[in-house]
Amino acid sequence: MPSPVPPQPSPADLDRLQVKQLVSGDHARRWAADINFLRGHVAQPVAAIDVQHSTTSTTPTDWHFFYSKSGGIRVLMIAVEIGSASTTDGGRLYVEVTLPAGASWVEGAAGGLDGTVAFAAPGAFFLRRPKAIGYVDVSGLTVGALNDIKITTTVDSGEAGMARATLVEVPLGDVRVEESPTAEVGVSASWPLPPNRLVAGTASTAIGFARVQDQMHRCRTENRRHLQGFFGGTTTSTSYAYLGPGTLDYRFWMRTRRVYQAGSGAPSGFAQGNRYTFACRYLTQSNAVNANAQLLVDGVAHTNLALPASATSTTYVTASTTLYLPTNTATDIDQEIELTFKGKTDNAASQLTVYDFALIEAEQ
Amino acid sequence: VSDLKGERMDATLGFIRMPTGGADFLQDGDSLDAGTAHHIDSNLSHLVAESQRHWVSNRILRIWGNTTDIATYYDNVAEGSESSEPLYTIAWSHKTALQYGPFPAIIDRALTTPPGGLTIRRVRVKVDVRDASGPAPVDIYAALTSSPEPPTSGNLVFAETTLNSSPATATFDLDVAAPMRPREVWRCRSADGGGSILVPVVPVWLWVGRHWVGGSSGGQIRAVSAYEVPADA
Repeated sequence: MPSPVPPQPSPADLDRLQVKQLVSGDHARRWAADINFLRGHVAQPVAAIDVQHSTTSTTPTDWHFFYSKSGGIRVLMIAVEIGSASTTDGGRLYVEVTLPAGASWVEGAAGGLDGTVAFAAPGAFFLRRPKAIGYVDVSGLTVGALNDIKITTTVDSGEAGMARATLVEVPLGDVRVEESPTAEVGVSASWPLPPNRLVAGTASTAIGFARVQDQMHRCRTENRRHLQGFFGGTTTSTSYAYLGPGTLDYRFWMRTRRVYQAGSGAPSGFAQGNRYTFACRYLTQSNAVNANAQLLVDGVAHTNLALPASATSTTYVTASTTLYLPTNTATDIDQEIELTFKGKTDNAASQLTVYDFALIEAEQ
Repeated sequence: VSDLKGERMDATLGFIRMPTGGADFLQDGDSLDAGTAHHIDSNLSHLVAESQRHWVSNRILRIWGNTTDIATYYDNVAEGSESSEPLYTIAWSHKTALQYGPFPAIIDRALTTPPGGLTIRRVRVKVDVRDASGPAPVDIYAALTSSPEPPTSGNLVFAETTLNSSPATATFDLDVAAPMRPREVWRCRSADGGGSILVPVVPVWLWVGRHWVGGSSGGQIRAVSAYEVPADA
């Protein structure tokens, strides 16, 4: 029997739990409800960009996105808006999404994003423009693995391009943990109901305290918040420089997730910072020269990422590392940080070209 | 307003480390004690309180116009010709506005003033604005809508600010003051892989608009960030 995924958490006060008094088994109902909410309803946005790309060239244009699946998520929605900058006529555009190995379109739900449809792209004066929406079955992807999702746009006629794109994980309608406790997330909602007994269970059973403990920890560790959308920048500098035109920086902000106590009170073996994967898609040009990327937090250098020379000067490659973002930032707004990015090449005869940076939560 | 989150033993203490699923945690037939329940309740409340999501981080690739030449920038209205109502100053087309979404919003924020009920989380929008030649006089707008139609066709919340420095940051905390309910279904996959099912969601779109006020080139939007924050952030 499916267990519901509540659309809201179930707030509760602690003073109803009296020390030295036994607690009703019904209290586990709140645990099951909040775990199922956190694991099934808190689905993560992956990327949202407004690029207004438009071209008459029939050479395909690729748009890459990093994707690391959150635990329990089954489907990713991809929405692509098609437009044209032409002030006289529009055009037609093919959109083809290349899915990572293990992912596939939900039955009958590619929405034309499989490259089979030439979408009409209305001219620049139209406010309303078509949006193609497809649903991807990502249940076969490994939680925590870094995947590449590529959107390729190809002009069929006239002038056209991708105006906007949004990738978001789809919340679950239910969890069927009783039927498939190892493949499904959450806790059986019927377990805490009388006359069922309170049992120990295991992490791989649908019920029991061990299941509650395991799933509660996964609520903490299997969120995959994404920050990406830098899109482009070059440098020939041999010292760290901003990548925008005229060495201009682009400032991003985010709110870090503070799981643990700040300072020395962090539990043994756990860092108080918010753990993230710092990834970069890039290429290097000339003489197989290595390069480096740098993340700055609140204007201060935070983490350097080595970018080994790419095999060619045309094909982008990916490098990544793990870092901890500060969560105790009371100098400004607590838990809110400003992010900027720099790059450098090891030889001024070469050039570093960054396609995109990404920060993807990887709490453990 | 307040977020729906349970009580924590100590908000700054955060998540309290506990066994990660060992079968010896509580044996069959054991009574559930208040201490254990305190820890689990507090941990779940803390995870809910820290479950805010990141929506947008987008560097803007386009160059925004600063001309009143209607033929070229037909809706990039210059100062002196704007509507008396900021919402209606720009056309919210792709020439003057950015649009992101849909995002499946989470309704777990309690409205403590009439009409009451539950609404979506607060969304903080931060806009990086620059003018390479100096100060950046520019109006920046932000809005949430419940459809892909522009904010002028109906919006959940609208806010504006004027900047006159460079670099500058426009910050908006978008709070929806009306209760919301799921109003759309998205496709999901059934657990057994047997095809798609429909899931109710609350789709929300984010808009960021720009109105050139003056200056040599006008303030340019360089990057947009948006993310959920607690009601007390």
